[in-house]
This record gives sequence, structure tokens and C-alpha cells, in this order.
Amino acid sequence: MKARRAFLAVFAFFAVFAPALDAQAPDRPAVGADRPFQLASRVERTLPNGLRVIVTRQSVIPKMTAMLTVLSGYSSDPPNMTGLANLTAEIVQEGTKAKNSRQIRREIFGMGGSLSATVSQDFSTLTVRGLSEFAPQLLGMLADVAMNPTLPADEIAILKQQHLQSAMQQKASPQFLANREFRKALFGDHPYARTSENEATLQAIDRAALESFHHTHYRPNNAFLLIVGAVDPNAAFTTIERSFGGWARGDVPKPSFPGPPALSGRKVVFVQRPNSIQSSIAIGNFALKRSDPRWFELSLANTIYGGAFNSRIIRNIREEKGYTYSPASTLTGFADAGFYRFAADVRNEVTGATLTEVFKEIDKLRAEGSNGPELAGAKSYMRGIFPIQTATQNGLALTLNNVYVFGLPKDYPETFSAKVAGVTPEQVKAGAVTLLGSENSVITIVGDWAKVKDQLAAYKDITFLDTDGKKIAAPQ
Amino acid sequence: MRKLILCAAAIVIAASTLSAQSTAGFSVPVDYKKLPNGLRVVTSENHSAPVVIVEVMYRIGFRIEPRDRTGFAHLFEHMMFQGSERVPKFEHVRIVNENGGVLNGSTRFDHTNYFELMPSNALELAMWLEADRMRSLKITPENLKNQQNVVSEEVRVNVLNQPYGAFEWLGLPQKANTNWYNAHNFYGDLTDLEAANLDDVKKFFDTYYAPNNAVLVVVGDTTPDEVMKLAEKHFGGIPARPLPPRPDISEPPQKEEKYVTESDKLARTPAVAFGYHLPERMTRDFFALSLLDPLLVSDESAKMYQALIKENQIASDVSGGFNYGLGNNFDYNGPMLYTFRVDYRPDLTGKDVLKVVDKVIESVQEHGISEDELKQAKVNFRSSFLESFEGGNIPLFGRSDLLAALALYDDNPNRINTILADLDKVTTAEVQAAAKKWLTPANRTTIDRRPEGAK
Repeated sequence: MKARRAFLAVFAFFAVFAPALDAQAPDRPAVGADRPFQLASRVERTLPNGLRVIVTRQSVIPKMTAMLTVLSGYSSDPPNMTGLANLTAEIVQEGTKAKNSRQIRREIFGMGGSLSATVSQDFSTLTVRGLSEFAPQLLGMLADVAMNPTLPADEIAILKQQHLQSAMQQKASPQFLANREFRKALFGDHPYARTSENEATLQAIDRAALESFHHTHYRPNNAFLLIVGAVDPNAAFTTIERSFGGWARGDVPKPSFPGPPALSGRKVVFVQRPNSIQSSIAIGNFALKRSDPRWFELSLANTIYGGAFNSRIIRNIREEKGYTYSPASTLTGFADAGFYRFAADVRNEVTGATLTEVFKEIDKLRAEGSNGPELAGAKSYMRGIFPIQTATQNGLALTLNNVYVFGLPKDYPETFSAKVAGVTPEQVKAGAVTLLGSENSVITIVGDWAKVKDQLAAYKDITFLDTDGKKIAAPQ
Repeated sequence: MRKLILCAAAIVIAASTLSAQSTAGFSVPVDYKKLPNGLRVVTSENHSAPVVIVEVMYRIGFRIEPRDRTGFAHLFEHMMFQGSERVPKFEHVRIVNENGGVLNGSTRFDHTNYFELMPSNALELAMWLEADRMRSLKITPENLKNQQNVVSEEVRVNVLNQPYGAFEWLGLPQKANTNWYNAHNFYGDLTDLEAANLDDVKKFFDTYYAPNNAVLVVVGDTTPDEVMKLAEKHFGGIPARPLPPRPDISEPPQKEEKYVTESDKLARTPAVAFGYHLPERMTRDFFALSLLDPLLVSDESAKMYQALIKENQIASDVSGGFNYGLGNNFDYNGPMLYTFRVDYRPDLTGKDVLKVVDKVIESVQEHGISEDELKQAKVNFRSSFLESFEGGNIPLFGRSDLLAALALYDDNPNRINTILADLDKVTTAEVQAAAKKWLTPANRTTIDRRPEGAK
């Protein structure tokens, strides 16, 4: 009723409002010619101990980022100690032979800096960032924590306590639960199923395990150092040789990857979260490992499906139907495998309808592919945002880090635009088929079963879990 | 360390040393002009990448939205993507994406901003898009209804279905303030959002979305001449409109401490948020507290982290800042809180946390901070300030947004290059005096957010 009354109002609105169609309002302007895009050259050297070093100058602001990436991450955790790589990357910052935790933090603070860790499936990265006037000190600090950590027992106790509390806290987040269970359902026993530590795995991690992980994996021949910022590459190498030259090589075991489990049918995992007023949905399937040359076709298919604001599923379920605020469609590639995932939070009443629309759009793109202005627009989008993503020191560093983690071609940034432009409509159609599993998908829903069960009657293969991830009977 | 620098210079002849001279003199180019219709135009050239950001910031935020329409300023932000005279619904998004760009908007206390981040060959296209919706917003009832649904889902996903319910940035101002403008639900009650109609949309647009109530900022691969030429062409024909008088948004001084406990149906562990009313923006006390802030709560080195997590081991995380969760020290223009959030141990209460917090603050009030700490805080602030120029995931946005706020609120975007000098003058005595005056229990409001069923 409200909408109907408002409908009448619109005419009055424009009758009065009829925005003074001033004749001077200019017509839509054309876009100019492409402007050249050229990143600064990268200087790469390998130290005698095997540490690869890549330096590039990017001087928009007088700061710098240095990322030391060890090519061991969650996949190298023992199965009963998920989180070991993550805790190792954090505890090394809490004390070295020369400095205690507090001294390290105070020095970093005084250089306008930060020291932090990021751990993913295949790697662990320690990052220092700060004002470039402190470049030698920042690099020295990075070397010190990577090479000479003391892993003090009291700091380990504090760190574990923090992580135990976070692990408990995260279980209240529907997006966290949706992602955790999606990955477990998709990857099964494959190490890529592991996304987060829990109380049990945290309790199992002790000082000996941390020391062993550091001793084994933090080796120069298992690492690379990437520096982006207002620095002179040649001058940087002198400091780097001094700081990292004494790091000893080691034999580093590589994680072993079983083949990921086969996926057949639409498998639903429902996480019962009482009091939910939305369903947090994740839908997806296996895709490609990051280094696969078909990555560009899959990325274009993803851009068209849901990877850009101007995409089919966002236009449909957000701008036409108003089911959700924040749908997200992502292609993720690791060293050994990759996956596709669509995610959205929708009000309880439209849970079933959202699944219907997601698969309808998937099946349409798989069957028909994309051509014409839509494909041209997707190519422009991908080519246009690349210079945007690399316009900051951190953005450029993250892009380059992927090149070295996944062994992408060294000229990846320089050839990106041409490779996107060269993808054919046939390749995009094939890419859509690989990207979007449709009949073979994992569907994870975090919500309140009683509120949505009638909408999911069509799905027969449903596993129910509680927020700890334990199997339960179908909730009433 | 000095020795290391000399070494590098000696070995790499003719190359600059790794350690540059002090970065203290860094500044950004700022060109500032006004069109005859009152539109402020700021250009900041930067040719390091063929990229440009076009931002329009309007001086209307959620603080002074209509009283019976909580959340309307933000709902209206969504309307600005729903079509204008020459750009039908969703075309704005399509045009930007298909020309290699991204876009967004956000609603804050005292302004609403919109931007397109594009390859620089699409500069004029982005300005045309912004001008068209400033000139001629065109909303249908279907589009309003659609975005009422989208915004309701936004409130659900960010507030109602989340543990803690955004209590530290959405809840705390409602408890700490007494003037309705500062104390209402900015994201909106779902019933108010539902009740909005096209009349509201028209009235709001007519009242606030005028060129003389806005600033256009362009940062990146362009020149002031090009920007001014295009600004005149596309925005020059949009007439100025009379603006309403600004309502009284002042906040009476808080006389005694406020402390409330809330029960959270979704959270598993407790958290506490507390906020102190801040002195007026750009005053001496404001600058003094701006430098105390990084020493108190910026990172693991800070006093709060050391006291709560390392020494007393009663918390797992602490964070905080001015305009916390919504902006920074400079992008607002009215009463504001200095907010902290602590995630603490389930066997304790928020009062236990405040005991440790008060010890930290009392120590600053009684003993002040050292000259060395002040010096480090200045370096740290400078670094964070420069960091904001890069803009994180949205390159150039940090710089354009700050320039826009300084143009709207201070009529002086070049303030971006002088703020650090004001901070540099701050003394340890000023920091101590400001802490004594402002960081008092009587000036503080606390929300203790506890899992339902917890003691």
C-alpha cells in the first residue's frame, strides 16, 4: 500500500521538480585515448644464501613497505595444530636476541612504522612499513625478527590467550562461520580446508612446535624479500646484504597435497545460528590454481557474473530485487588449487529465492557466455582497475607478492592489459563453465533453520552443524 | 645508524643513499577556486599513474537529517545512484565500470561524499556524471522501494545480525550525547527507513544538494587548468540555491560519568566501549590530544595495549581514535567523541577494564609524557597522516576526502600542508593539561556489552 501511494506522488514530484532542463547541460563526453601506464622497473638479485630480493621505487609518498615472505603457510601446519604458521609469524615479533617485545614496538612506533604478519594457505609474510627516512632501520628490524627471535614463554602465553579469545569471539560472526564451513565442505582432507585455528589446535601449540616451525621454514632459500617505496634500489641492496646476508640456508619440506575430493551434486551445509535475522550464504566450487594461464578467462567470467558492481548477479538480486546489500563473487587461486565463491547476506524471507537467482544466472552464463558490449566493458574494467590497484605502495607490493608467491611470469604487470584484451568470447564461455560449478556446488548457509526451512525443501542433501562445526540433527 | 647510511653512500657511488633526508617537508600541490554558483573546486596534481579521482562532497550528513526520518541522509546517498536526467538507473555504475573505474559514496556526521576513481582519460566523463546528478536527480517509486530494501539489508548485515551491533560507533554517540542531532540512530530505525517517501527525497535534494553546499575535488593525473575548464562547463550552469540556517548542534558539557550495560544476543565474549567528548576541532587542546592518541591507542607499543594485554592480561584487543569507525580527526565539523573499544576476558566486567584504563590515564595526567615520547608521537602522526594520502584500498581517496573536508569546513584545503606544523608546536605540558581537562571520568560514557546470560 505504501508503495502504491508513493507511486502517485512521483508525478507530482516531477511536475513541480521537473529539473530545469537547462539547455546548457552538456552531452555525455567521449573518453580520451588510453594514456600510457608504466610501472618503474624492478631490480632483482639473489643473495648467496638463496634469498631472492626484489626492489622497486614508488615515491608517491615518502614511505616504504618491505615484505618478507616465507613460502610456508597454513598448509604446512600439522593437522592437529592449525594456526601454527600463524602464531609463529606473530611470536617472532615478540622478542629477539637484541630486543624485547616492548623495545621492538617502541622503535617501530618512533619510525612511524608498523610491523605485522599475514598468513595464507601457501605463505607467511612479515611486513614492515614506515617513513622511508628510516629505511635501513626498518629493514634491520625485519631481518632481526625473522632471523633471531627468542620466542619468550611469557609472550607465548599472552599470544595464545589472545587467540583463544578471538577463536571464541569469531564463532558469533555469521560471515566467519559461512567461510569456515564452506572451505571445510569443499576441500575435505586437503590442507586448503583449514582457514582458522580453534580452541583445541591452539592448546596443542607449544613453544617446541613454534620453535620447530620457525627453525624449519624460516630459511632464506624458502623466502623472498620485496621492497616497494621511496627508496633507491641500489642503496637498498647494500643494507639488505648487511641485514640478511648472515641468514643460514636449510632443508625445507614442502607440504604434500592429496587431490581435492570430488564434488557431485548440490551439497548444503546449514549452520544453525539461533536469533539470525539474515541467512549468510556462501556458494561455490573448485576452480583453478593461481598460476593457470586460463586465469584471465575465469577472471573475466567472474567480472561479468558478480565481480564488479556492474555485473549480472548484483544487478539482479540487489538493484532489481533488493534482497541484499553486499553480494560478493570471488575467484581465489592458491599454489595447488583454487575455488570460486559467491557470498551474500539476505533477509530470512528471501533465502530460497536468492539460491534460485544465483543458479539461474550461473546456468545462463554457462550456457550462453558473453559477448559484445558486456564483454568489452568487463575487459575495460579489468584493464582500468589494474593501474588503480598498483597506484599505492601497498597495492603494488601485494600485486608483486602474488607474482613471486605463485611463480607468475615476471612480466605479469607489464602484460596484464594485453592478456585481458586478447581473451576471446569462446574462452570466456569456457571460463564460465570452469568458474561456476552449478550442478556440482557446495552451498553453506548460516542462519535460523526454523525461519528458512520451507524455502529449502528442494534441497535434499543437507548437513546440519552447530557454530562449533559439530554435526547436529535437523533443528526444530 | 648514521654509520650505515654513510656506508651505503660510499659504496653506491652516484646513487642516492637508502635513507633519504627527513620527510618532514613533504607537501602536496593544492589549487583552490570557486565557481560563481558557489561550488568549491580543489585540484591536487599527481602524475605518478594515469589515474584520477573525482569526488563531490556535500555539506549534509546524518547529524542534521530530518527528526522523523532517522537514517534518511544515508538512504538518500543510495538515491544518488538511482538515476538522473541523462543517466538512467544503474547507468552511472555501468558507465564507470565499463570505462575501467570504481565508484562509491558514504554518509558521515556532517557530509556525504561520492567518488569515481577512473583512468585519467575518463576524467570528463566522471565530472559529467557527478554534474548530472547534482543538476537533476530523478527517482521513481520502484527505485526508492528497491533501495529501502537494500539499505534495510545493510543495517541488518552491519548492525542487527552482527555480534556487538556496531555499539562502539553507532551505539555510543546515542548514549554519550543529549542533543538529538548528535544522539539519534544514524543508520536508521527500520520503520523510519520504510516510511520515507518521494516527497522526502525531493525536499532533501532541494535543500542540501546545491552547488553552493558542495566541493568538487580532483586528485591525480590532470592539471588545475583542465579541471577548472571542465568544472565550469559541467557544473557552471547549475544554479545556486538559498541554504537553510544550520541548526544548533552544540552539545552541553557532560557533568557526570555515564555507564550502561547492554545484553548481546549474538556475541560470545564481552567488549566495552567508552568515549570522551573532544575539544573543538583545530584548537590547541585538540592538537595536544591528537598527539596523545597514538601514544595511548595506536598499536602494540601504545600505553593501553601494554597495560591491558601485556601487563594485566585482561583483554585480547584494544582499539580507538577520534571519530572512531567513521573517519579521522579532520573529517567532521561538530561535537565528537574520542572512542576506545576493548575486547576483554569473559570472567571480568567493563568496570575491571576501566580500572586499568584509569591508571593509564591518571599516569599521564599526573606525570605527563616524556619529551622522547612526544617526539616519537609527532613522527608517528606524520607517518599516519601521509598514509591517509594514499587511501588504502582506494588510491587517492584519502587525499581527496581530506581536501574536500578542509575546503568545506575550513574553507582552506591547503590546510593539508600546515596541519603538521600546528602539531609540531605541541608541548608535553599541553598534552598533560589536555589529558587533565578532557580525559576525566565525568566526561566519559561507557557501554559494557555482554553476551546474553553472562553474569
